[in-house]
Amino acid sequence: MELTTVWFILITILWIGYFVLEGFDFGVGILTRLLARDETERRVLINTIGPVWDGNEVWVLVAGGATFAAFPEWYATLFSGFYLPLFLILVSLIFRGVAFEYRGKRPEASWRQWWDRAIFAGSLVPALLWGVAFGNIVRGVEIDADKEFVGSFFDLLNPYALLGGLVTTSLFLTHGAVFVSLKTTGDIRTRARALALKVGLAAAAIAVAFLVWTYDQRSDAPHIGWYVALAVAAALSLVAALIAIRAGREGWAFLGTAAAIALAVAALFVSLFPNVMPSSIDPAFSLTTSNASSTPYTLKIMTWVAVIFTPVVLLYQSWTYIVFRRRIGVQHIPTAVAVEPTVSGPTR
Amino acid sequence: FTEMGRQPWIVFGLMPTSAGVSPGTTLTEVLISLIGFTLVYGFLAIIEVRLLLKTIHGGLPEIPPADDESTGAGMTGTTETERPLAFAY
Repeated sequence: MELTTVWFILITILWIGYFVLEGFDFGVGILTRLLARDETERRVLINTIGPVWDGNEVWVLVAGGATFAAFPEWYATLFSGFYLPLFLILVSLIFRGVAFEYRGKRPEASWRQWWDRAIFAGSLVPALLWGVAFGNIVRGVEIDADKEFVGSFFDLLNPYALLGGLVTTSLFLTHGAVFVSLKTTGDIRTRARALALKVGLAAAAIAVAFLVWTYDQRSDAPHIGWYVALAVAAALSLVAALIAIRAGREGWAFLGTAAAIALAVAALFVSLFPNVMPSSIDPAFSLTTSNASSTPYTLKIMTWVAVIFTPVVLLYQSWTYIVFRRRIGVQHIPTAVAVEPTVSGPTR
Repeated sequence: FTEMGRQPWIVFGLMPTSAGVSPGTTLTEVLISLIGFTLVYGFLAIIEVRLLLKTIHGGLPEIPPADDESTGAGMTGTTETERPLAFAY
């Protein structure tokens, strides 16, 4: 197998890892507004993802970094063409990350409300925009003969891509609700299950519509047979997840939503291959694994680095999940604010 | 300053900065991100400094008595899995 193909597959796997992992913590972030009934329950939700969300987020950095090093032309066209959406995603992620750390640092209710808004918006906006971005990549954007994006920001807001945004948002919300049911105890667990089923049904309908529309967009793609197989498997996994959550089998349900997201991302990348960014102006201008890649020597070095370090990363990330494997309930939330001083200073 | 000292090269001696400009990215887009990031980081820096000052002015928290949790009524019926988290967001 050519190294360019290997790196296309590896980048696909990195995006799968990102969406499967950060998908549920985006979902939980949105749920802090939809599911939690009071401050303690909100803190239960935040603490289910507290130890893992930042590790999950690193996957997107590696995906971007791998694209930069393995397919510089793809990286250049993508990051220049999608400049403003990616800027919005970054700002959202900055506020969201800071919000988790800051919301407990002051006792005032208004302080927490502001950071809760940041957690909600900072989870919703990227969940939506990643779907819009991927919708546009699959649909094809205006790329000229110089491999440059020549469309405008508003071209990116087409119906197909916006539906893609709804798919990621609803899928992540379902995935997050299933994760909450798996990681909590008590009343919030029961409500998370019920919500997962409700949102999951909507997600299934939207996702199937998107996958069918994608088939229509990419019907002349070279590996469309594989696309259909993966897309059907993704839909079946989601249905299986919903049956499992209805039966109260939370572990299986989480495996199901994770598989649905993984298979759907795989299906989209397969529908692209060997293109990485199809051009809507002329198929001859499309970026492919061969015309967008680095030199074979660069790819060889990268492959060795990945072979050595990926297992290490996977090991310590799994370790985090093992250490923090316990369920959390309202009884586990300490009443005191993290840094509330017991001795008040002279100038407060 | 490293950026200024390196000019007019983006990769010293190999690639001039003018060759590294993205042709597809407009001046408006670059302005929006430059102003946007400056505001975001400026805003967060102010909050951070104020939180630091608040923590410093608050002084050190009192060390809770050592036998607070390990003895007494709190221990009976409270297994390790039921105890509140040592650190919680």
